[in-house]
Amino acid sequence: LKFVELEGTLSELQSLVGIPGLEGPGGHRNIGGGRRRATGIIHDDAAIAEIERRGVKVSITMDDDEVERRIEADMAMMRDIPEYPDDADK
Amino acid sequence: MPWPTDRFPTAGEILLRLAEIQGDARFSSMCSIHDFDNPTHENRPTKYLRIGRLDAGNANRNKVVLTGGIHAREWVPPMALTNLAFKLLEAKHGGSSISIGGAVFSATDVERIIEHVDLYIAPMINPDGYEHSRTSFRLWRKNRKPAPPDPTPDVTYIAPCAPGKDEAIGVDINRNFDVVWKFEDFYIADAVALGKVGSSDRPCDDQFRGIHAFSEAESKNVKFLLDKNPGFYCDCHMFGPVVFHAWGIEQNKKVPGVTPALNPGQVRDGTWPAGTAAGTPGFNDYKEPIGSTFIAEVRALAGLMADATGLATGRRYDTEPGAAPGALTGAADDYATSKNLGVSKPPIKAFTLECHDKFLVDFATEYDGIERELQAAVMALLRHAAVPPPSSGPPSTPSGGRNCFDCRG
Repeated sequence: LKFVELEGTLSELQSLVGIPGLEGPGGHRNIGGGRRRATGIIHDDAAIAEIERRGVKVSITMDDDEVERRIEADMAMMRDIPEYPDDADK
Repeated sequence: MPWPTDRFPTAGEILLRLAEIQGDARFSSMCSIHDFDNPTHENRPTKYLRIGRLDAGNANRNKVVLTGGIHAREWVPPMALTNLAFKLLEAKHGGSSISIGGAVFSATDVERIIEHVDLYIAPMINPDGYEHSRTSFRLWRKNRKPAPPDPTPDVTYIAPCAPGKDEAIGVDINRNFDVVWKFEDFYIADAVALGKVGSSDRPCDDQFRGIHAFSEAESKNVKFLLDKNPGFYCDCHMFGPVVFHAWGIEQNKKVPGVTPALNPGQVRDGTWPAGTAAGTPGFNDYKEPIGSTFIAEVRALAGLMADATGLATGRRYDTEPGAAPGALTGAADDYATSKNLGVSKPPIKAFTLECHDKFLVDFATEYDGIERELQAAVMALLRHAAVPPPSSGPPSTPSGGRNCFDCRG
């Protein structure tokens, strides 16, 4: 899994909806020149080739390693913390 | 109870914190705590705070509903909304202003919000999913209710999960609301087949809509608040960064390849055809039920919220109709927008605030900034709600701080 930015025209970005392995695109930012930048999540690297084939530029903003590191950090942060403080005594 | 400041809270800690805030003697006259009627599948309670002058009645008061935690893996909004409740009450008690980065909300603003807004905050709508995300699977999005097997006399999925392969657990709460929930009746068949509707009939998908609208305790609980007919609703999520406004189901116009062309001569003039109810199948029978004035007000208010994020951290969120990235159905904000149309109640101005550009957050280095953006956007909404705008023209910003229309480039 990786987080990405997607850059293209509105119609190019809208054409990405439903591509297997892509979650998004999410919020758009108008960057001028008729182009927009959106966010998304890649679940399957095969989606990247399909996105680029449609003329949309893909930039990785958080790669698989960093995603994994953050997931592990979050799980470590919350490890052994009971849902309710009183549960710690049980 | 020690409220964590160096990590995210648990779902239970959020409930305890809400009770602690309500139980603070300084705030007791302006805050009450309530249980939602519907416990979750794993039998967790869900609560909300009501903040304002509890003895003031409803005259000249705008109701505002804030929700967070609908999506389990989006951990920032539940904590940030809980902290905002405390911050608002503490400022009112102390007669002080609230500064969130460069976004300043004066003591007068705070006073007006408490005096003139009837505020409902439900920061943790989906505790089952949150706890699953927190303890087992960080990326979990839905609630935790298993889907019924397919087929049953009442349930037939368009695309059932692979037997023995996929985990058919959980409903995407934000696809379970009764607004174009049954997307296959509204959109072009090819768009449905290609997954271009932002919702899914497949129980193992992250965006599974459920077996019928409002099938889930969590969406019923949000509906309970929206049935109070607030003037404003903001559902807080991650990620964008963007303030979405109406509509998500379409963009006030045809979405190419997804929504059908209108019948010749048809004008989307804010009404459903006589004799039909909202949700009646057949997109070509559907006329866009929000007028241009309403849309302009909603857009302007989204702009105020976005301006506030810019003042808070320097990162101004974008504003878009929810359908700009692609149509999606069954979402809470669209349900709120739709529910009072065609009836004699004022329409609800509804927003989905998508914070930050990722939902995986480094708590130590990123949480504070995202909290500031969320809280500034919500405070801008509350400040606007505290002084109803004139019947025409853009929303005004009352005393204190900068008028954010002046802040734009």
